[in-house]
Amino acid sequence: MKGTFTKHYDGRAVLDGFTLDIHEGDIVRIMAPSGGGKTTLLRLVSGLEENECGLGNDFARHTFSWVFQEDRLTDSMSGLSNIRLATRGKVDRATILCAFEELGLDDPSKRVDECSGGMKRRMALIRAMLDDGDVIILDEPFTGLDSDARALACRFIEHHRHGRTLLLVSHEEDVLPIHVDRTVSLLP
Amino acid sequence: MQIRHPSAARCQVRTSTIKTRLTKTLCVFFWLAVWQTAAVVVGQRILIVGPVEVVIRLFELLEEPELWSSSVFSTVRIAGGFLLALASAIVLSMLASVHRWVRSLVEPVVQAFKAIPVASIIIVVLIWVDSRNLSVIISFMMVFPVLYTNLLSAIESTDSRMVEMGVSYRLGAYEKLRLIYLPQVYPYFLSSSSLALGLAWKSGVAAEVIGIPDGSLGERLYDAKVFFATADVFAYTLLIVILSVGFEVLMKALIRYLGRRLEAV
Repeated sequence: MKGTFTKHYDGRAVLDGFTLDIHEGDIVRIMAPSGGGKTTLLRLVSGLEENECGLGNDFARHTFSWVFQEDRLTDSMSGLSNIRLATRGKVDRATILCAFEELGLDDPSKRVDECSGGMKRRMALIRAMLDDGDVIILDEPFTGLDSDARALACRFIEHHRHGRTLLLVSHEEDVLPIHVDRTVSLLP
Repeated sequence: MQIRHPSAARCQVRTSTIKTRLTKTLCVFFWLAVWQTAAVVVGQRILIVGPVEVVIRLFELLEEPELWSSSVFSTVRIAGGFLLALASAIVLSMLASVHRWVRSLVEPVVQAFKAIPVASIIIVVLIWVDSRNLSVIISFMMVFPVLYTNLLSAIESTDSRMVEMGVSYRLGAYEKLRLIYLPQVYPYFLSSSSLALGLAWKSGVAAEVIGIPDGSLGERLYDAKVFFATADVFAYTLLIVILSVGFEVLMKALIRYLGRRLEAV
């Protein structure tokens, strides 16, 4: 899978002809300093931002399942309802309940606005991993998780990836208990 | 640092709630006392009657079966106008948020409904339609702009990040509506409905008083005024307020019930 990406914000190039060339099914970690264009690259790859580069983009024909930097869950609904609706009813209740258990979450019917930041983060991860997108994008998925929850989350990701390509952004200092096939650096 | 026991905190909250309710009740009684005093001081029943007399008169009037049928007549029409406006506002605000031309088409109508005095609209509508259905049209015309404007701005202020989530998860129209739009629009819907309900009753009864349709509450109010039956005017007004509040409570309960149903999947 290969794509070349360019993006300017207010006349400043955040990415200028950056080529992302990865193997299908790889786990790819994207690293860059803060403000270095990690999220912009993910948004360009998934088509949420318009790519200013006219060259070919293999990613355009894929579907994506995201963990955004923010959880982007509906506060007035339960975690279970959020996941069922976001996966368009394709994932049954039992599978979601199992996923909650795997990640140490106890009450799937609890309203999201009554949950802690760490719980919401794990719900966002369940949503992305149970969805059927070809490419999984995880933008700082471990924010707000302690080391135990992080280990559970990594195991959960490996269990539910089913050989799909995974693009992962996490803090540079994070040591992740997950096998990464490739690390891509956005350093100038 | 002082640590308070949870039951002590609960007790304090309960005491505060009781105090607030007591204050509100005392304020109501204060104004009722002012009203009663004014009636006694003025001493002319043709000008003002006290609250006690109004309540007694209302109970007397309620013994007349015609008053019940008048109440049904007015409630059905005003509620009909409100529900028609609600349905139109929901459909048109959704269409207007998607199609620019729908918004451009509806906007002048909304502005006209807002700007034209109610009395002028009532007179014009009386020329066109039978006075029996006047309150349906007038309450519709008064309520529609409020509901449409609020719903449209609620749809437009939907969190763009959630909309983006919907795009990336390839959500269909149903899922987008349930997961993104309805939860964000619901609070606006509840508050604007509450505001619009009061408006529907005020404008609907005003239309009936001007159009005097047979068998309406407005006709009774008008007759009471013509015959200087001030106690009846006050009693009918109290009845209209009770009907309006009752309908508002019912509608709010229905909207809340629907809201709870929407939260569950």
